[in-house]
Amino acid sequence: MGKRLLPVSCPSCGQVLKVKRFACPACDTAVEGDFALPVLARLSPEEQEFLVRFAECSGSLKDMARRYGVSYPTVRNRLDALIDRLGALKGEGKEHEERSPS
Amino acid sequence: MSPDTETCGWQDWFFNPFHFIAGGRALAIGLAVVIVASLNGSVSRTHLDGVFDAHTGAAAPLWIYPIEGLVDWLVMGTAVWMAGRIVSKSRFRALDVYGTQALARFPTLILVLVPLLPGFQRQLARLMAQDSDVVVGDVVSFTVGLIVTVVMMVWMVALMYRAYAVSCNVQGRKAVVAFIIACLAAEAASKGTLMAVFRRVLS
Repeated sequence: MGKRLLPVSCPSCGQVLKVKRFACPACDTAVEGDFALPVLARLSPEEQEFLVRFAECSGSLKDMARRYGVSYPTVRNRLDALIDRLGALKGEGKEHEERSPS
Repeated sequence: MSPDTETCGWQDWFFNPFHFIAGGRALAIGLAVVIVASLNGSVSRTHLDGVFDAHTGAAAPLWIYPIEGLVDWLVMGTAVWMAGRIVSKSRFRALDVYGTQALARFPTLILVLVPLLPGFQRQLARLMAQDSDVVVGDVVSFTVGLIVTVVMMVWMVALMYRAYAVSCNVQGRKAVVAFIIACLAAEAASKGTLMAVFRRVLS
């Protein structure tokens, strides 16, 4: 079976999912609570891969372009799209916090 | 992106080479394209006397041809750079804009060779003289030449748009409208610049 994707939104209503339970695969100890998914976990696998590569190249877009055989503006445009996406996810998170009862 | 170097299909190289080539590399290849197209144009007596113009027939000193090519490229690059500054929300490099616009002129390499088709010039001369004689071979050659010219022009405009979209990180209706305005302005400005340059140099 291939690697399963982390579900980040509810298949029924589209709301961002929260983590309710963690379990230790070795001893079966479980921790339950109400944990928000970190913003980075809500990115698509491709976006997460891009961020990993960005870090591997020490944040140099020129190095990324050279290493992956694409042009500098192609990498720059992907980074801009990712920055927009992170901004939107943070905005969604704030909105959700404001709506949720404390 | 996949873990290895990205691969591409032939359509990427035809319609969006800027995904892979931009900056200094595009500028070097693009300038070579502009110069070689100009020199080939001198052989076929084809003038690229405007960003979207190609006229054949008039003999001219060799130096005029590269000046036409360089002015076309510089004016279009500047128009696109200005359009990008207005429309784009991203920071972008002038090197990418000018480099990709130079490379986008690749189809002119083929376009300037059209008048060398056997019979093309004869048929053109007949049309200019309003001569009604029909030589089938010449008409076929002329028609093929016209089709190739139109296809190369359309390809060049498509490449120019992709160059602008990639180098300035723009898309959508606003980007298209800004590109059309940039094209119209560049066509007028290149014509005006070339006329001014030649008037000054040749006077």
